Order: sequence, then C-alpha cells, then structure tokens
Amino acid sequence: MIHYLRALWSRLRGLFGDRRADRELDEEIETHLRLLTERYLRQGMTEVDAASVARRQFGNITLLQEASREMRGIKFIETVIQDLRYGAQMLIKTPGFTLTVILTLAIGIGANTAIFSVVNAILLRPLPYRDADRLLVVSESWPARSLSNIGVDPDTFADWQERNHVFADMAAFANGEEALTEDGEPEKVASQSVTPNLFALLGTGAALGRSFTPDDIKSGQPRVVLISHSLWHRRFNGDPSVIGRKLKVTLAVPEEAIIVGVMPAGFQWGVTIGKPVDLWTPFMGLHALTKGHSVWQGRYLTAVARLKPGVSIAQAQAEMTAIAAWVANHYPSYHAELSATVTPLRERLYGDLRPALAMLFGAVAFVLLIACANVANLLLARAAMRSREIALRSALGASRLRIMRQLLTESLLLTVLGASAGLLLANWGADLIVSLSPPYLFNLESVRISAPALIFTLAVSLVTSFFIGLAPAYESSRLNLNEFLKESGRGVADSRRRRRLRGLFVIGEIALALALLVGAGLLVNSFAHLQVVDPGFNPQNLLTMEVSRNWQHSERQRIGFFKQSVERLQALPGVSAAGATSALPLTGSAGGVRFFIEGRPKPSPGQDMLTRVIVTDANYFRTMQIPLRHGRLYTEQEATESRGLVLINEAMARRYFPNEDPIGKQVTIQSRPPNRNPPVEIIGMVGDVKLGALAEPAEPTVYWPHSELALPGMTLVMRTSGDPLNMSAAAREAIHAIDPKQPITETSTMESWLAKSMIRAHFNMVLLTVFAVVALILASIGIYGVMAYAVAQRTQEIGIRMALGAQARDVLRIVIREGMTLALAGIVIGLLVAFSLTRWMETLLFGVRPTDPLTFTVIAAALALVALIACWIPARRATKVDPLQALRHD
Amino acid sequence: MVLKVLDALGPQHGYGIARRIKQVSEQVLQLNEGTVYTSLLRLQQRKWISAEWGASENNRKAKYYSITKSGRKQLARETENWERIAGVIGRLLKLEGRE
Repeated sequence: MIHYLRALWSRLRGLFGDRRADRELDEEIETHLRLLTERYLRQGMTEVDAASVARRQFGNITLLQEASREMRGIKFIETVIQDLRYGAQMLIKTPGFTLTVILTLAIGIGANTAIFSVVNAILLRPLPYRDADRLLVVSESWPARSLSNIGVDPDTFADWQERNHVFADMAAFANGEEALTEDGEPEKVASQSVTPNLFALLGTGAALGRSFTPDDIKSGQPRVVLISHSLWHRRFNGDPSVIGRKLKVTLAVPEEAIIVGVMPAGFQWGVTIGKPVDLWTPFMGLHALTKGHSVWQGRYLTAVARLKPGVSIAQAQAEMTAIAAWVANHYPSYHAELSATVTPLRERLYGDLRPALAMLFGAVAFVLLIACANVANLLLARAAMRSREIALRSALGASRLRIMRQLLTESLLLTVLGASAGLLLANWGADLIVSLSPPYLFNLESVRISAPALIFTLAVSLVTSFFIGLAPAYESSRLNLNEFLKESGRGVADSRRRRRLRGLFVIGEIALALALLVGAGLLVNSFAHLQVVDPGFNPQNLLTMEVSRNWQHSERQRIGFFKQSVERLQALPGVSAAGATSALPLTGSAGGVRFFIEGRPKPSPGQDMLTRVIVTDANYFRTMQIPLRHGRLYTEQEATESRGLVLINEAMARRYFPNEDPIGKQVTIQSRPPNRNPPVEIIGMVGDVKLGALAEPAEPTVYWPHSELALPGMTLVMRTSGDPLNMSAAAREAIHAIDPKQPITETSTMESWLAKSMIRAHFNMVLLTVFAVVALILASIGIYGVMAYAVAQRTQEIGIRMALGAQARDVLRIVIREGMTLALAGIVIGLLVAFSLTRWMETLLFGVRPTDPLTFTVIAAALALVALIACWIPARRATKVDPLQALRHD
Repeated sequence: MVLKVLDALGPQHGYGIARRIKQVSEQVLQLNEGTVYTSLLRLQQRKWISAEWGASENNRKAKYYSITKSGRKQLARETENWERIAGVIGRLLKLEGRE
C-alpha cells in the first residue's frame, strides 16, 4: 500500500519537474546507445552499422520517452489539462459554433434548473415542522359522494382524540379573522384558533414569551393570544415589552387578550392557501359544549396528528375508519355514511399541484433532450469537418480512446460553459415562475437556486455532456484510417452511418417538440374555453370591498349599517349601482347547508339535500347584472325588514324541482339551531353564478335577504363608469364617514378576482407554451442545420446534376424531400408520443379532451410548415450553386 | 529480475543491467533493451532502488542504480512467492505426468 502512495507522490512531483527528468533520461539513453555501439565496433562493425544495430536493439526511443513521461506524471490529469487547453483553443477559433452550442445548452439546462428549484421547494424540501413526514391531516369524508377533506366538528374531534391509539398527539385548528382597531390603522388580520397542543405537536415554540398551555383554555383564565413575527414588527416595532400587554381584538366580540408570545419569523401553519396568519388564539370550543354531536355545530375544525413511532399510515387509516364507523353508529343523524381519512401533510398541501409540476418537469426534460440532440448534431457535423485532423492524429499514433477522450473533454467544456450560462438563466427564470405563480402558493424566498438545485444542475450537465459528446466521439473513433487516406482528402465524404445518426437526431427532436406543442396547444385551448365561460354576471368595472362589523352590534344596527353604506356608495359620482353580499363569486365557496322541501318526505340520514346560502341586499343582483329568470326579486324593504322569502338559482331548480315550478314552494333551510328554522317561500329564480372555479358547474344556491340572516361581515360591490380602482379612495371615505374605526379589507376589482381564479390555468399554459416554443425553435434550428450541412456537403453533386441539365426546381425538390422525410417521420412519432402522454394531463384540461383531434391536426400541420421553411432556405441556397465553381471547388 | 541483478552485482547502470539480464536468460528473453528503463523508473518510484550519477566505462555520465533495503525485502518476498508458485506448478506437472 505504502509504495503506491510513494509512487503517487513521485508522480505528482513528476507533473511539475518534468523537464529535468526528461533530460536525464535522454542522457541515460545516449550513454546506453554509445556503450552498445562501442561493443559492436569492437566486434568489427562499421560505425554506421553499429549505430543502427544498437538502435534496433534498444527499441523505440520515442515510445520509451512517452512511457516514462506518462509514468512520471499523473497521466490522466496531464491529458485532461492538455485536452482542455486544446479544446478551449478549438472553441475560441469557432466562436459562432461555440456560442450557438452554449446558448442552446444554457436554455436546456437553465429551464431544467429553474423548474427543479420550484419542484424542490414544493415537493422535495422538508416542511418546516419537526419530523413533518410523520404528520397527518385527519378529516371526515363522504365516500358515497367522493368527498374528502370535509373538516370535523369539535365533538367528533374529541372522540377521535380519546379513542385512537395510533397517534402520539392530535391537534385541531380553525382559520378565522380578527379586527385590530386600537394602536393605529384599523386592520383585519387572518387568525387561527388552535388547540393548545398544536405548537408542541408541530415542534415549534414561541420565539419570544411562551406558546399556549392547557391552562389557557380553562374557564376563568384570562384570554391569551400569540402574534406573528411580522405583526410584531408591523404594529409594535419589534418591541420586546409587548409580552404581557393587552391587545384589543374585535371581530366576533370585542375582547381584550394578553399577548403571551411572538412566534418565530416565517412561521406559518395551515393546510389551505390563504393570507398569512398574524394571530393565534386558543380554541375554547372543545369540551365546552355538552356532547351531542349536534347538527348545527359545524365541521369547521381541521385535525392534524402525529403518528406514534412504528405506526404506519395504513394502520392509522384503519384505526380512523373504525372510529368513524363507531361515531356514525352512535350519531347517525349527523354522521351516517361518513368516514374519516388520513392524508400525509405534504400530500394535503401540495397534492393537487403534482400533475402540473410533473407536466412542467417532463416538458423541460424534453427541451433539454432537444437541446442535446441539436448540440450533438452540431458536434457531429464539426467532427466530420475535423476528420482530417483526427485522421492525422491517429496516424501519428493517438489511440482511439485518446481521441474519444479528447472529444468528450471538449463536450464537457461546452456543457460546463452552457451550464454556467444556464444557471444565470435559471435564476431569472425562477423569479419569472414565481411572479407568474398563484399568490401564497409557495414562499417567495423559498424558490432560490439552492444547493440541491446546484447539485441537480451539475448532474444534468454531466449527463448532458456525455450524451452530446458520445455520438460524435464514437463516430470519429471509428474512422477508418485507410479508407480516409484513400479518399485523398477530396471533400471528405460523410459516412452514411453518420448521416443516418444525424437524421435520427432530427426525427427525435421533431417528435419531442411536437409532443410539447400538442401539450401546450391543449392548455391554450383549455384556457380559451375557460375565458369564454359565462361567470353568470358582468365582471367589468366592479369594485369590491370587504367590510366586517362585529356581533356586538344588534341585528338592526348591522343591517342598517350596510343599507346606509350602499346608499352612500350609490350617491358617489361615477358609481352607477352598489350592493352587498356575504360571498363574492369566484372566491371559493362555503360548504353546503342542509334543507328540505315542505310537503315532501324528509330525506333519510346520509341522503341530505344541500344548498349554498348567500345573503345579499336588494341591489346586489342589479349591480352584478345577474339576470332574473322567473318570479321576482326581493324589494329594498323586504331585504331590510322581512323574513320568510328566498331566491334560488337555476341549478337548484334543475336539481331539486325538475319539471316543476319552484315559485311559491316552501323550503326549510337549516342554517340555525334546530327548531329555529321556519319554512321560507321561494319567490324568484335567478341565473347561475360561478361561486368557485370557473371550470366547475354552478352549485345549487339560495339567496337570502340580509334581514333573514344579519351577518356582520359583507362585501360591498359597486359598478363604476371608469377604472374601478380609481373609486376606491372615495368609497373608503364614504364608509369611514359612517364609522371611522371600521376596518376595510380586500379592496379589489371583480376582474382581478376573475384573473386570480384562472391563475393556475394561466400559469400552466404560459410555462408550457414558453417551453414548447423554445422546443419548436430548437427543433427547427436542428432541421435547418442538418439540411444546410447536407447541402454544403453535396455542393459537388448538385453542381454535376445542374451541369447535366437538372433544373433549379429538381434540386429544390431533392433537398426538400430529404428534409421533409425526416420531419414527417418525426411528426408521426411525435403524434404517437403525444397521444400516449396527454392523457396524464386530463386533470389540467378544461373543455378539451386529451386527444382533441383539432389540436393534434393543427399542431402537426404547423410544425410541418415550420419544417418546410427550415428546409426551404438551404434548398434555395442549393439551387444557387454555380456548376462550374462547384466542380472546381477543392 | 532487475532487483536480483542489482542484489547480486551491486550498483549498475542501465546498460549493464540490460546486458546482464540478456546473459542470464541465455538469449531466451529477447527484449528491447530500452524497456529496462521503464522498469527502473517504476522501481525507483516505489523506492526499491536508488540512483546516483557516476562515470561509465567509456567515461560518460551514467546513472548507477543500487538496491535499497526495502528493495531487498521486496525481492525476498517475491522470490519466496515465486518459488512457492513454481513448486506448486512443478508438483502439478509431475502429477499430470504420472497419469
């Protein structure tokens, strides 16, 4: 062992002290030869003979010098350095080629790195909680209607907590809002009501002060609250003495709570995308109510649990299914047909993003493959031009391996340069992706070119350089020296195999580009379909403004406040109509409320009829331009004073009153505790409005006048004559004229809500289209390059043909036929590839089928056209060949 | 082989070693004499032989190689190894001859 180290050391030294050792060896050889010659002289040979015999006996001096040089230095490093130096020289000599290759690789590698950074941030990086892989979200589910993630009511949660043996701990939380009216500008913040054990379960403590303890929910204890790091800085200037201070929070009921702690910077918890939470309060509802599993409690909690060590997810699921069955058995009126599901936290957070990310990742992989094929083609063409040099090198004794290595080193050099440029591109691309992405989808800071991304780039580069270098290197090393020399250097003919290899690359490129284009085409098509979906109202020039009163005001006061607000807004110049609603369209929708129709048998448990309930004032429908289909709307007076009236939408009429006139029918809507829901009369039917996603069908909905359910928080809408945002200041003033302490949140326009609702579709479409266009450009450069090269190679042949009477048209036809054969082969293969891949995109599409024949046809035709142009340019050049010059050439 | 020569004859230059090997092997091994230098270099790198400059018979500068202590050890090891293998092969051949 030790002698290997010694050898290595002396070799390392040899790497530097080369010259002296060379000279010494020369002297030794000289002496040796001299001694031999003298010996033969003594045997009576002539000086010349003796010298030549001596040399013969000694053997190949150059070989010996080479061998000993190799042994002295570390051969590998030495050749690599030599290859690199030589490669760099070659690249500098052909800047056009080098730049093209580097740019192509930069696009391929850059796109991959950018997408990988996003994928890494979302799918691979550990979630910021202790042992996040052991965290599960537990929710009620309704297998019969394939509904999951329903949430859970407090009583059922308590049962889960008590009865399970698979979780180390189980916590629950509910998202809410609180208004901060003291200490500065009135502000509404997102809040979370959490069981005190939540933070311990997540493994996070307070950065300042303490987090919650079980004592915090005991009755008689003062109310406590935790604030976010960002709220601490925003409202309290990061003052540490804030701990123990009283904070007045006002939404449900104005209360004072003691700030007991500040959470760490960046800490967020939740399972849905929403505003960052600024306030945490202990959840008091658990054990507070008498257990009854009552109907009106609501499934507003989300449960999160930590698996006990050694318990698998499947075991946890089995246990929760059993517990849910027990609950369903004991409280059938509320739980019949319901079960419980457990979902790993990451799956719950990002599961629905996976198809889109998988698609994008696949797309960038395709782009990289195309880039590789392109570069390999360029290198192949260059290798053909360098045949002479390579033949010379092998004639001088360079081994095949040595030549291959030289070429691979050059491709590595190119890739490294390309990857560096690609990293710059990726950095910029990741920013672009983040700016296009839906808000709060992921932390902006979290998508950075991180260490894993760098490692990924490195790996991709190595594989890439291998791919692009292998074919040319292999081809060149196969070069038959004899044949080559026989060709006597007359316009080195391209070997047929090499031409075929290049043809295959082009076919592959076109096939991949076609698959990408089809995918992008389908998404563009979906997006177009989405944009012509009728949301059920006119979204133009609508300003929206969320205003929340609190429960402390009496019903009359609440209704009066909004009536007054609407009147003031209507009076503003530039506002043609104003109204109020409890839920804006397209902003997602609250869960359903059960109801039954008077005069019909009550549905059995588990067969509930559900409807969404929206509270509006009388002006809402006119402001939004939601059409009345049948019957009448409620009047201004009815909307503020009377009860017992309701409007329904068309979807409700279709589902629950088929072949019947719903007007005049009585329904009981169970939005209040049992026995406090008198039947109400349907007086009219309005058009369907999309409450959630545009892509989903409208849900059965009832509209109630504000007087029926005097909610404290409403969204005001007003139709303006100009840009709605210009009116926002005047509108705020109008509200503050009624109550200067009234927080106003989410001032926006209906058009921006509309854009937000389409942001995911937009995100997917834009990115895939960008990649597809890049692929198209690369592929057409590829086919152009191959055809241009083929024409250049065949200049003589074309010249002869033309001298023998071929017309320009014939030449054009020959070249184009050759190119289009490749293109069409690529298109056919690409169609097959696309056909088998697009079905994975089904969940991302809307209004088009994954095998939409129109998209497939149009894209294939468009690609064929592009290919035709790419062939036509070199073909035209071929027709310009001057026969005389072509023959004289070379 | 080179080590054995140096062990037996003391310091030698490349020419001498090459001639000696030729003599000993009774012309069975017809190697190019140049190859001896590659071996010398390898042995030197493993510190089994050392070299110093001196004058040759014809008064030229020549490098004289001599065996080192670790070279002797290696020689002993290899000799033993070789003898063992040769012994085994020898016995094997005898065995086959009897069949």
